[in-house]
Amino acid sequence: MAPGTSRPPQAPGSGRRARPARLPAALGAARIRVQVIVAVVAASTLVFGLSSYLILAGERRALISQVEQQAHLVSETIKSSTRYAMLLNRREDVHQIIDTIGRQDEIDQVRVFNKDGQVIYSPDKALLGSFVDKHTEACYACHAADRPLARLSRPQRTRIFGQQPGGRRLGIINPIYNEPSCWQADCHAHAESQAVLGILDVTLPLEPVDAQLAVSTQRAAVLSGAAILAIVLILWLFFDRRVARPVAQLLEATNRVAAGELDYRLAVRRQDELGDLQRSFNDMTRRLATAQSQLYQSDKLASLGRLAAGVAHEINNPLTGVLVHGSFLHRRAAEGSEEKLDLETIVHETKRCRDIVRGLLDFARQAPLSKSLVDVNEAVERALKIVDNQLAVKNIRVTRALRPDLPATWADPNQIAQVMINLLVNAADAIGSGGGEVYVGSELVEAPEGSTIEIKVADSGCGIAEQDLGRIFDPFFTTKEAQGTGLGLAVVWGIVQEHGGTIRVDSKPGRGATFTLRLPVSAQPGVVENPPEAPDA
Amino acid sequence: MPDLLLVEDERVVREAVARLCRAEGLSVDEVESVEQARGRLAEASHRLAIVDLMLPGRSGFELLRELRDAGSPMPAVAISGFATTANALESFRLGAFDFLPKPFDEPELVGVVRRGLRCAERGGTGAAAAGVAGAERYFLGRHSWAAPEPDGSVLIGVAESFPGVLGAVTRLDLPAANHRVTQGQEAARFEGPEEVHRVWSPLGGRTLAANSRLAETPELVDRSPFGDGWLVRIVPAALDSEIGALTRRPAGGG
Repeated sequence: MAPGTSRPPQAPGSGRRARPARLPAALGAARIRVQVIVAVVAASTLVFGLSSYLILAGERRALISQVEQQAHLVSETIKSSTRYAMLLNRREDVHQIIDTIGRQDEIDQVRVFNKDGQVIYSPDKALLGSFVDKHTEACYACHAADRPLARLSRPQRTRIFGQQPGGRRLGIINPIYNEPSCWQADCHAHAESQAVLGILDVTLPLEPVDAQLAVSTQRAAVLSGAAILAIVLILWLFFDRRVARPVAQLLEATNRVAAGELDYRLAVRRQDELGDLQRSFNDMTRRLATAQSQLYQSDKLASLGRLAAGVAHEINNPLTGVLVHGSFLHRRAAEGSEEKLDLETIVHETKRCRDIVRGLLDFARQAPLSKSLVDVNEAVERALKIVDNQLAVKNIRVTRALRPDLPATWADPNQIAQVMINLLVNAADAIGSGGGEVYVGSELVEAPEGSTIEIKVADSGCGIAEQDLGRIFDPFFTTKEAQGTGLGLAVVWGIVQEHGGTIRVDSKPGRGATFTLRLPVSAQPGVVENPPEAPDA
Repeated sequence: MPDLLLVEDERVVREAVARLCRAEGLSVDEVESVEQARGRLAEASHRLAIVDLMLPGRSGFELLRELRDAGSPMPAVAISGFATTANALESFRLGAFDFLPKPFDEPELVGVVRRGLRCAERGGTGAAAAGVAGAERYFLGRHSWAAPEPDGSVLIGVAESFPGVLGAVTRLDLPAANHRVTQGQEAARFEGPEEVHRVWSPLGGRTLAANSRLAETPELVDRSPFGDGWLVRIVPAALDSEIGALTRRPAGGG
């Protein structure tokens, strides 16, 4: 699509004033790389152009002044060489001298005019006797005003005329002033009243200067062009490596995360702003993943609640049939008979089904929170007291590191105690009968977005296999075989969620597990709302 | 006159319950809906009703309410496959004699049925409340009670539908200390050779201690259900929110 075509054509007189013309629309649509390069090319063209111009202008001045010097020298040489011959009025000698000097290659023309503008000496014999108009370039310096000037400064005597290429010339006029020796000479050719006897005009070609300037200009242009090209190339490569590639990677990462790949991470190898952006992106994705997994877990729990309600009813009716008939027959079967044993199995297993369904319903119907300002340490201590016996029997030593000055927070003390009991029982189960250690710690984590109370429960138990870590809080997930219902940690998870907190588990098989629970500190009720209960009948 | 009115739409449950009751020597009127139940009740009087809560059309709650409003002396046992606390509380509020979550086995059903029939024979359930001293109590129907103590704990005991009608009790199961009890869920059970009687807790919380005297003298439940025959002392978990579902009776009341 051509840039600009996406803009709707503006209706004339629509009342909306067109915005002042910005950079050309095409530039706005171009990639940053192109935009930057265009800007740099424009800037460097300006800089190179200006500096080349200044350098070339200096060079031109120096070269011309050199030619001017040369012309002056030639002019003075002729003047002084011919002085004596002129005084003696030996015209042939003057012709001889002027011809000799004037025929050199470096000299374009030598003319001597008398005060009437008549050429009286010149190597070019064709010019002899011809008159020069007072308004030609050689005369203009003096004859610009009505009255001719008698004295001229050197720049005023110099002139550049003619057309390029090849035709430019530099001329210098040298007035021959009247001197006592002139009007006292024997020839009496000049009167004493005459100020200027004539003009010596020497012109030198500027072709070598122009040629050298042309070479210099060309060289400057080529060098500037090469420099700009080099800058563009370097910028292009720089952008490609340092900007375009990381930006493309970020774009790719954004797309992948948007597509749900929340474990996608960028490799951060830079310390600059793009590195910061990459780090920030990774951090964002990590938080997003956490939030999503918690949302997923909440969603799963809510779905489970609904499912439990439905399943319980559906399953309990057939289970009633089995249990009633089974127990009926069981009680009437002959003592010690094979049937009695079979029926006992039926009754026993049906009751197990009943317990499972009941667990499901219990789970779906977690008690509503009853919150008050709670000293979390107290709740922890209470939980420890409750499971104390259980831990002692299993030969488990408990280490406490409770921070004494924790702020009170708005929570349900019983549910927090429940969380701790479940975590401690879980730790005890993980340790087994061989004995071990449990660490319980509380800490205040202060952060700008709000302080949290962190509770850690670490055990020296069997640990959790990596593939199980993600499912440990799932309802009915258990590694304890027949011992556990698989609801203890799910309940923990639910309660923590209802308190607006988070829970995390770190573990390696054989090296124990650490549950880290964080509760937001809030001194006021209403920060975390009770979630709606599972639907009833 | 038939002994039982059984209101249950699920055939397998209806047949199973009817079979057990007939094995008990009871005659059973089987119906599938509240409307049919009304018809039977208009024709005959029954000694006991077993009412499923989830029925097509009108729910079992409606039947319970009608029975209560009509002042029927017939004990009605609510049964439900969706035995939530809310359903249990609502059943007792509507005057149910007991609440029996599905699935149940023979001793559980037989226990409830026999106890209900004994109550009916005795002439209602209002017998034992006399002589209650002290604290005001909160009742889960005529099933169990909770009495808040000055120290913040709550005593829990059985109400009129247990004393004197439990039959032979060979075993009393009370929760151990630090055990969690939930409102509307089992708090204790009395077991006999053929019967099981479960006590649904009026409040949820954590048990502090069971009444140790009951171990030696279980008859205390019969003799003094509102006094020394209390079952368990708990620390309530959500007293303020749960107590609203109970019926308050002032101190000394009956």
